[in-house]
Amino acid sequence: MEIIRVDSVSKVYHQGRVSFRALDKVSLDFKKGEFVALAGPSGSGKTTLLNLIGSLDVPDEGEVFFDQKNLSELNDSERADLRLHRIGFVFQAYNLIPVLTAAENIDYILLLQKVDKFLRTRKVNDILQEVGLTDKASNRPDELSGGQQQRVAVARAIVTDPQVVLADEPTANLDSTTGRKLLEMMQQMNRTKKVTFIFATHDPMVMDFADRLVSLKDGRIVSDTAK
Amino acid sequence: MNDLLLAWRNIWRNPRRSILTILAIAFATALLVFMLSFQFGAYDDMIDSSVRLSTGHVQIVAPGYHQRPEMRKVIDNPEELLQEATMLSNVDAVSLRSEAFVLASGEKRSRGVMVTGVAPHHESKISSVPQQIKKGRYLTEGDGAAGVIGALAAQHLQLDVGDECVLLGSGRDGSIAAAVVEIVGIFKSGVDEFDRSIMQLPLAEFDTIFSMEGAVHRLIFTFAHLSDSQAGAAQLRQGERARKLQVLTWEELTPGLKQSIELDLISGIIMYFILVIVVAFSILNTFFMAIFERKKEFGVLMSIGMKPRRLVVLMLLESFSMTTVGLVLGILCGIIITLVAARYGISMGDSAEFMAQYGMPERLYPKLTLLSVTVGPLLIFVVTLLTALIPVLRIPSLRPVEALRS
Amino acid sequence: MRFFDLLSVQISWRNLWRNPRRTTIILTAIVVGIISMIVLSAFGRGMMEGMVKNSIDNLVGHIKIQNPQYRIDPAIDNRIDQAEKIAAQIGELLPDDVQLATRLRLDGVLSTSREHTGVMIVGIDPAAEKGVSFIGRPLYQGTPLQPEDARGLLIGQGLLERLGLEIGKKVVVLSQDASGEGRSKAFRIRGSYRAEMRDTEKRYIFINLKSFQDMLAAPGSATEISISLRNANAYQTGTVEDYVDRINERLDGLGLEATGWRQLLPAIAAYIDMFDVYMLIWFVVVFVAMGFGLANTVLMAVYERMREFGLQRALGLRSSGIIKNVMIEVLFLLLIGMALADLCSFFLVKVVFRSGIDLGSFGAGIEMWGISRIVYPVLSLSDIVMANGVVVLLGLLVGLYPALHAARFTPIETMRHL
Ligand SMILES: Nc1ncnc2c1ncn2[C@@H]1O[C@H](COP(=O)(O)OP(=O)(O)OP(=O)(O)O)[C@@H](O)[C@H]1O
Ligand SMILES: [Mg+2]
Repeated sequence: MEIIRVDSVSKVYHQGRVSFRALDKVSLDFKKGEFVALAGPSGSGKTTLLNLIGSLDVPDEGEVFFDQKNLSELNDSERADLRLHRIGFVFQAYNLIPVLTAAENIDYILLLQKVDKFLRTRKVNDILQEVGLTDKASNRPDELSGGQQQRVAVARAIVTDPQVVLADEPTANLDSTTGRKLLEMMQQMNRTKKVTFIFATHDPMVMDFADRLVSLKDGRIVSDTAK
Repeated sequence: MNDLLLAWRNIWRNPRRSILTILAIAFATALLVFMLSFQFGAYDDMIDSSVRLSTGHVQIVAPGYHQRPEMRKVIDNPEELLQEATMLSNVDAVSLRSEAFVLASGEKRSRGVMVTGVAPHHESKISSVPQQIKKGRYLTEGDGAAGVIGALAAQHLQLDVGDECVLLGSGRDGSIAAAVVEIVGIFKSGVDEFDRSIMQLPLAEFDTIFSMEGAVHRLIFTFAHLSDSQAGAAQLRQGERARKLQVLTWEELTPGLKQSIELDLISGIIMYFILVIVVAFSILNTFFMAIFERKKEFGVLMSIGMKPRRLVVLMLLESFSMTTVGLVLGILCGIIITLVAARYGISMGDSAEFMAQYGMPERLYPKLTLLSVTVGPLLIFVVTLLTALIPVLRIPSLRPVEALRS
Repeated sequence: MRFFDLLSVQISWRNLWRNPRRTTIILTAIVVGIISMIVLSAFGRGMMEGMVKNSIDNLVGHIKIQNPQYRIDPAIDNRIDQAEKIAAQIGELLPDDVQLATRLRLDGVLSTSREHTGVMIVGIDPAAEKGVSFIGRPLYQGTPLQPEDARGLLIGQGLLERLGLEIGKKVVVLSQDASGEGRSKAFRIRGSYRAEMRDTEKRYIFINLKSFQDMLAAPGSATEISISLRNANAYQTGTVEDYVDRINERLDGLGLEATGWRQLLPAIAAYIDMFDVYMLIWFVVVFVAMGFGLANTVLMAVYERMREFGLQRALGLRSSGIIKNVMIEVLFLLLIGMALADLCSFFLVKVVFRSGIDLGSFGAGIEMWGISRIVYPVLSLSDIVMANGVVVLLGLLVGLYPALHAARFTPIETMRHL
């Protein structure tokens, strides 16, 4: 049973008179609980694809289905709700709200979900424990290392129990040891909670961890291999 | 972790910028609080000195007397009316007056003078003239053919305290009225026109000289507060006898004063409005910056499912908190400055002489009122929030993908 | 190194337009601020000059020759004898466009068949009053005073109404002659005038000088010779004082004295002097309101470019150089704002508000103060200079704050802020 279906999707960017086809009739399925890496050279369309899956952007042609639902039939507000409740995001950097502490950053998304206070506190504590940052709970992002920041970002992405986590180059700013720890953590979550992870990455280590590797080039899929 | 706290922390991300913005708002607020208190205080003082000098808060006169004062247009049996009126609440003091034009002559000089018959005891509760005696004394209840005269009139007539003055005019019935009075006091109000033309006599003496037969020309009222005069006048108009007479408020008696206050107020409001607009443009950049430098952050927030509407609220909350801090600070400073100024008064410098001609006091005292403390801040609050809306309303059109790329 | 080297100027200019929206917003604040300074002061000055003019028109004139005693005791005793002769002599002293009006002005009583009222009786030469005082202007009702009309009288419309009189009615005028004897004479109302101040209308009545002299048996006498200067700078200090000195020299020994309008109207003169202070306060207040914005905007621009400043420092630019660049930027901002604002103000004053604003709805209020019904804005060079001066001086002072900040960024520090 696929959680995401990408059906011959194209995305064209216009810059002045020239238009640029960032994605060209891409079709892909993602199953529940998959741990997938999207690879490919810079400019091949990885981020673009991830944004379309995450309903941050709309395709020019084709359709994206999330859990059987056609994303193009949703309005802005429904998309925001979809992201809030069913998708988690992790970006390369500047993921966190600088004025909020680690715990508050995680708490804030639960607040947006209107989770009650008691449950929120418990969930925040649990997830901080899970990512090993209980002692950094009341530190602000600028007091955390890059790796710790990314772990908070992962915690924030996962705390809402989403079906899919989309991560755009989460390890790009990290050294390999820290990157590995982060990936191990995410793999763990993938295994225990059956959350689907989709990465856009250049990092060979991420590709190693992935169960399935999709390679893109010039907006097309050149290979799609399961390991 | 609520939105207000988040907004508050965001303000202090850039303390220098926020403080400058808050100071701009506080400055304008303090200035408006002080200026409005000053203006309102000055108006009250102006009205009060005019009321004290001549008109009172409310008058009752015979129909047509105000438009064309003539001796024969009198109020008969004023005591009855007086009884009726003193029953009213809020009435501070009532006095009777009559007026006649006479040719006053000293030893050598003559000139036209307006003689006012007053009840000395009541008059001292209503009028400022008793306190403005520069030489001699004011009239007392026992006085007979005695008078007090304005300093300029005394100078022109070459009269001094103790001198005799001959009055020649016509009585209520048109007969010739003549009398000799002794000058017991000379007053100086500072209003040249008043000091040049007024002489006061005891009402009883006036009555005899001008054959008034107990009638008077005016009933003068003052109330505990200026603001009572409208209601007081309305109440007076209900009275059995007053209905046939004319009841006038100070606004009708001195339209010039009322309209010059309006003119001053309106020009003040124009100036304040311009000032607030300048402040608004001054702080608009801060509001723009606060949003544009955080585009990327908004991108992340929108990605994780925050709706633009909530972002708008969050940003407005930020502007709102900043404005509120500025307003509170400004109101406090404004109140302190006003209280200090109210204690010592503000001298109008060289303009005082000019103002004195119109019966303005030398020192003006600002007066804190609920209105003067709230009107300015409210204007600033509204304009600032409208200003904050300009950049904030761009948030909904922000695309998450673009925001993330910035 | 010269202060305004071309490169610094270019850098500053370009930096200014890196964020056009921000620059435009702060320019708007500056422009609105300066316009408000100039335009409001123009209206204030217009109102004040109108007031001065009305007061001078109110039988004062720019210079007045009187017996010094008359000001304390305005009676016929303190008169000018052979006034016509003296007027002619003084006239020779002055330029041709100066006008002289000889008047006999005394307190008196006006009586109708039913009432009496105190008035100021003014004997005038009707022809001499044209362009000198309000009575030289067209009447409200009736016909002007003819030179030979021994029984004609002009009355204020306000007094006419108050006394229930009409044009053509007879009134009796009473005044004291030199021996203190009351003299009265009957006159016929020929016309009524309107004056800017309602009090004037209720107080002054006009008759022919000759007929007033005859009535008091005081041929050739007057109480004042009023002198009106034509040139516009009559309100400026200097000119009037100059003439006053010259006239007084000539009057020496005659027991007469010439006085300038500033001494005749001390209250108004004091108010004029205070006006400049009020304006300066307003300018500074407006400036402070925009000063916060200016400081903030430049501060933002400076913080944004922190790394550039660090780089420039690393390349060997001294901190004074950085201060200079920021200050030139501030100066540009101020100069553009001033230029735009001055143009707009000029346009507003000369085109939009050319026909003045009508204060008719405050009729009674403006009459009380002698303000004209229509207020025309008056652009005065000194106000414009003062407004621009306040902005540029205080503006540069405020600009120093971000400039000093920028100079403090060291290369190492700025790297940390990456
Ligand atoms: N908003 C945009 N406007 C114009 N062109 C865009 C826009 N977004 C992406 N592109 C172009 O689309 C192409 C695909 O971009 P995308 O960001 O998806 O690549 P990517 O595979 O994520 O690259 P990288 O590995 O460098 O992150 C690129 O050539 C990029 O220049
Ligand atoms: Mg990418």
